[in-house]
Amino acid sequence: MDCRMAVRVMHEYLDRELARDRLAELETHLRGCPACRNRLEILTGTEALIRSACAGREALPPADLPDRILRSLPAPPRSRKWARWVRRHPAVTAACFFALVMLGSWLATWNQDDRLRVEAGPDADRLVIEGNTVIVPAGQKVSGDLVVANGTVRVDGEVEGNVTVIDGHVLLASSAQIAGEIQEIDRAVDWLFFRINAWLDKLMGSR
Amino acid sequence: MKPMETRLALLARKGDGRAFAELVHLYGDKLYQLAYRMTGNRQDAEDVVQETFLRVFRNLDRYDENLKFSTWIYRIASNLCIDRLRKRRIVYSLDAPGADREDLDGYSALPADEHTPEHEVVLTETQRAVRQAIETLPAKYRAVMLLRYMQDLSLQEIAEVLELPVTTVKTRMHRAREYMRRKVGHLFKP
Ligand SMILES: [Zn+2]
Repeated sequence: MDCRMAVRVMHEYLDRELARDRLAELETHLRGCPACRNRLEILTGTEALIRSACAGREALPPADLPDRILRSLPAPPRSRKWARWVRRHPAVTAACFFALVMLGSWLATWNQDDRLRVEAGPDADRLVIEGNTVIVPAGQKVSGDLVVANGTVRVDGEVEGNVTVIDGHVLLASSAQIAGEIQEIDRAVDWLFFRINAWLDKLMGSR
Repeated sequence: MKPMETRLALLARKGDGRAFAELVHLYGDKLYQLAYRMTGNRQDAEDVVQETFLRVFRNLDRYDENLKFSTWIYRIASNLCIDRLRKRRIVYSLDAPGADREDLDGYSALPADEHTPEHEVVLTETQRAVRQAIETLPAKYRAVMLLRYMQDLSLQEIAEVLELPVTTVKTRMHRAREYMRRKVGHLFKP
């Protein structure tokens, strides 16, 4: 075994992946080679240094992080409920399918568009946009609903309405206040239901 | 009998909110430590942890229960960390010729974290120097190193987390270790 090979084998030894017979070969080489002995000693020491430096947990996550994570979760996916419903009502499903095909062109225009889109009514200029992230800055308030497509929303400030994200998600800072609901929509179909629901809500409300 | 985390994930998939909350409590801290060491920055670490759990939540339907839950969640988190580092557009490679250079000055461009003293444990000079050396490792080497020495994963597990061949993980581990030997080996005094 030459020194080059010895170094390779040393690393395998440190990986805890060295077969017994290779270990014996390495030991033979080390006995005759002070340079490699020194190298292994420093490598072992380096490993100890790394372990000791990695062990500390001096950076603790903010105490409210688990809470914020759980609050930011979207409502349980609607798709499963729909799947069950479809199985029970095949005829109605066929009719709906026809209606969906009619709406296909409209959907297609939605699908094609993967640019960032933001709807926030008159408060849109209070938002900060960084790349694909829409930020509601701390101390700022969106008085209505916030709808974002194809991007991430980071709420540091306040939203009085609902936050809806299509093909994206919501991150909440500890200062975030959202009076309404958080909803995440993944697929165009869900988006369609969202629009229809919003429309129905408006109909009900206007009655 | 499946491991507890897998059972929790399957319960969460059925809509059990408490099972999901349990997973957040089990892994929140570990993921935060990993993300903090990877990104060197609290805000990024926080964002990575939130995004990881969101992805886990949304993909529970696609979770393959034959895969260890920890492998799955570390995979999502490390990918998010590596993406974030990549977006910082600092591209260095230990593969490149001349990679032996002692100073990797470009890394000072990394946003330095504001240290909040109440959380800071006193580090020895040596530990601080080792931390700094780890921070100068390019992301792909740092990921391997941290999964090995912080999360105590075997090379096989790291390969599964990073979706790489074991041989690649091995090579990266060896290069990372040699790099660290050159940077901090002299600090070791037996
Ligand atoms: Zn030798």
